[in-house]
Amino acid sequence: MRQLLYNWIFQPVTFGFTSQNWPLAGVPFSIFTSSYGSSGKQEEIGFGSNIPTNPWESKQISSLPIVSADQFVVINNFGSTPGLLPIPDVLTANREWVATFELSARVTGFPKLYIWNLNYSGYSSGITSDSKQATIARLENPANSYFNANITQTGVDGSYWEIGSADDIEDLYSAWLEPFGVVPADITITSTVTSANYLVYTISITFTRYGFTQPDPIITTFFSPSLSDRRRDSVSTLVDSLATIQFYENVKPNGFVQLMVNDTKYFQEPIHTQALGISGDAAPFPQTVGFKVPQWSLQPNYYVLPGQSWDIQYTTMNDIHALNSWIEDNLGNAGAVGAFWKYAEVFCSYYLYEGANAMICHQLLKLGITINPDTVDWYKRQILSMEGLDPNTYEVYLDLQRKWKEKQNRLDDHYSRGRHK
Amino acid sequence: MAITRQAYEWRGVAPQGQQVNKTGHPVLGKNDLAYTNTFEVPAFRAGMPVDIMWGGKGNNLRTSANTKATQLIIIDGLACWPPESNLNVYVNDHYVFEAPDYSAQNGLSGNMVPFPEPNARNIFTHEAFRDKLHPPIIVEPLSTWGVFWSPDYSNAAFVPTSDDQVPRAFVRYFLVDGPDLLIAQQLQKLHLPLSLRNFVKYRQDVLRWHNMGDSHVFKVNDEVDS
Repeated sequence: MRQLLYNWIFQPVTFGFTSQNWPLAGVPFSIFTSSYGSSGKQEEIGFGSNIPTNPWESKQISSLPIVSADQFVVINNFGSTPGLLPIPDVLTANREWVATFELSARVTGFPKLYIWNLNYSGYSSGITSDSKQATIARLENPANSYFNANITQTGVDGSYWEIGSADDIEDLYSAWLEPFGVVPADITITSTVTSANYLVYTISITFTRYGFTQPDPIITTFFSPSLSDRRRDSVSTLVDSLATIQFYENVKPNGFVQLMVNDTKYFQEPIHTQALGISGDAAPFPQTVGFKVPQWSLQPNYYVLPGQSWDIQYTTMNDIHALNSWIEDNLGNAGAVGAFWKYAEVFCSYYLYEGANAMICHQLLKLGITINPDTVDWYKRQILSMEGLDPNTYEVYLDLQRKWKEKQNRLDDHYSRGRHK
Repeated sequence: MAITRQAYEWRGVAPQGQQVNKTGHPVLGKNDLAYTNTFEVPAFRAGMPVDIMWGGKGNNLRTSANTKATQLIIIDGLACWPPESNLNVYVNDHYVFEAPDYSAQNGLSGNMVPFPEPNARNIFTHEAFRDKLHPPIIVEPLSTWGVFWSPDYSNAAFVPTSDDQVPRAFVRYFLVDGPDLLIAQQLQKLHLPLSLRNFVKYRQDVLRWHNMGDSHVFKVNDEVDS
């Protein structure tokens, strides 16, 4: 038996507002199987393709949890992000960053420089020096505009790139930074020859900003001006653009959580119709400073029996699509729904009993005893203490029931329980 | 369903010009007005009770709340906002909260039981109500019930700029349905509190007595004399 949890997070990290990634207001969706937030893949735009970049297999849950024949599930509690009104924080920030750095090649005949490694820090989608192979694959794809057969992987195991011109540099960095929205037009390169006989390339790359809290992009190139020179790092310096943009962020979700077992919804209105569920204000997650009493908690716990499927559905009642439309109509490019902020979170805690423990759950259910890890352990102790008896008799059950009652009475006496919970 | 933990939440906010949404919580921020002017808190009059389920302000339901013949409700949690507002529960033809001379009273104030927690004014649920409403309010089968929210001060309709400007009310209750209603009725006959613990204990007793009968060890007054 285990206490398990599921934490669903909706934190947009796409380049700009991608409507497919945002839930529709008033429409419930599963935090397990929907395409929203951490339950689904993100569709990224901004670099000429709408093909999802995250593979299907990174989807957390592919089907609703169904309790198998040898399992027993007890839903313990759940909660979600509090907040009611759809009032955004309007945050002004630079529209772009320009990252500038220098690379040099020793002028000896035909000057070449050698790039051994590339590192990006900032918004991370896994494209770092560790995914050099992905960069190589993009660079060698003839379908890309920056395809360049001159850039070759050489050295032991293709450990460095041999770069012979400014065009090569532009193509290499275009391929590498494609997942961050950089296109060849964002890269400018100038070159000079120094008195020390080095050809110095000054490279400026423009990064578009998509959110107020988006981390600064910093790129580091590990290179050498020739194969006989020592290798060195070239770290970019960052300059904010003068142009600014207003990011609309930190909108409250006005969300409700509903537990669904098979086709039945747990929460209902006082007039017997289906309800949206419990709000994030009544059952907040996380529970922050100043929180004293949970207005609501799932007491009694809910039992999901073998053969039943269960789902946690979330409904946001604030219309983020309307906000985006309003920004587009009234602000144009001067405003945007920002990325990189947390819109909503749902937390669910549950107990999973498997195998023999699940069988004990059924026995406890028959005896009317509340199922929790303590009672399951207690029942196990009782079975062990009656070794040699046939447990399939009413007398044994009766004995168990009496023992349980005695235990409860002792507890009552011990704790002098006044008010009943 | 047996015993489920239910809640009803009312918010005195609605799409602008609408005052009420009769099908539950409205979607906020949805029309062609300037974005922050798409919703408003309707006007309220000081001391004038508003039913949080059919009062014509904020999120409402189609009819008043009621219980079926197989249902019983145990209301053990109430909360409201702002602190200068009150809640009173009614069941059929009587109010739950009354003044010491049994005259009318607005009810439980948001200063005692604020919603939500934490809140902008750092008011916590008073310790008298921290461990639930005790004893809870029982709504018998085939009853009509509801909750009145009343503000201490009047206000004209306005566009709220933060969550704490929105009037709120919250009711938490157990819905006892089906076979557990029989247990509830037995507990009431025995004058035992309708607590979750007593439901569980009574269910265990019934099952144990059943086993006693099946195993022929049952004696009259067994467990009563001992």
